[in-house]
Amino acid sequence: MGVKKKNFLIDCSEAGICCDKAQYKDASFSEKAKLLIHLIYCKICRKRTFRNSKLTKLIKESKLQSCPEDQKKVWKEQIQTKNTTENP
Amino acid sequence: MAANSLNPNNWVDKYSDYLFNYTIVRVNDREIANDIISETFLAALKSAKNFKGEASERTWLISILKRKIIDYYRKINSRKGKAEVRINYNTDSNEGDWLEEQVADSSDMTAEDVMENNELGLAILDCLDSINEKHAAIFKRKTIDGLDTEEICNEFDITPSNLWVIIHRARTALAACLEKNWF
Ligand SMILES: [Zn+2]
Repeated sequence: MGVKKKNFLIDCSEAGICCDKAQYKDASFSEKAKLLIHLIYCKICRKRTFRNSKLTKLIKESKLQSCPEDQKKVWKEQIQTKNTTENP
Repeated sequence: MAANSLNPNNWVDKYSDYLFNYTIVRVNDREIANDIISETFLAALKSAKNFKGEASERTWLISILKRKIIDYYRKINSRKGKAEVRINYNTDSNEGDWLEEQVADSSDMTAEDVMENNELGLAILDCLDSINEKHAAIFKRKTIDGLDTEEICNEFDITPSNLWVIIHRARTALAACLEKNWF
């Protein structure tokens, strides 16, 4: 019983990682449970969790996209070809 | 020696995400955005001799990109007059002096919302520029591309716990960087 109880208590750095995982919906059930228990008694992590969730919201709102690697390859080739003719 | 110099071989790795996100909200079409960015790179190489090194490489590329976007709208306006576009352009000005309004047809967001979100996106990319390059790449894969942890671990040859430590550092740095203007 004592051992089990201890397993559910995590430190702030582990709580931080659990919180990050939760931002990506990658946290397991037990990670979420551990995080929630930690948040009950840790004010600093409550603040950090709020901030981290706000960051997730901002990233979502920004609608950032990355261009596909194939397209980057095309550009690189175009630049290389053109650069050797323009600026030898 | 000039303060800033050009290094075309790094342009794609360093600036393509920035240029792409700048362009995509303004033209609303990936293919067209890709073409405009191609033209931008080629035009930049052509006028590389004229680069004085006063602006940063990226600012200079963006100024060329803006002209290419305007050219694109001139072309479609003279052809169809489909989108109502107003453009104000000042040749010797900064990025902020440029205004373009486009009639949004499908979304309920106003053009202003779209531009504000875009500005936020560009600010995020700016912040990511200031962290470790590999960490930024891993963060983008996970956060922007939405890839699985396993896939990213294979690509970068790291363990899941490495990945989460990197993500944690990147998110902490990003939040601190965005704090002043966006939180
Ligand atoms: Zn804590």
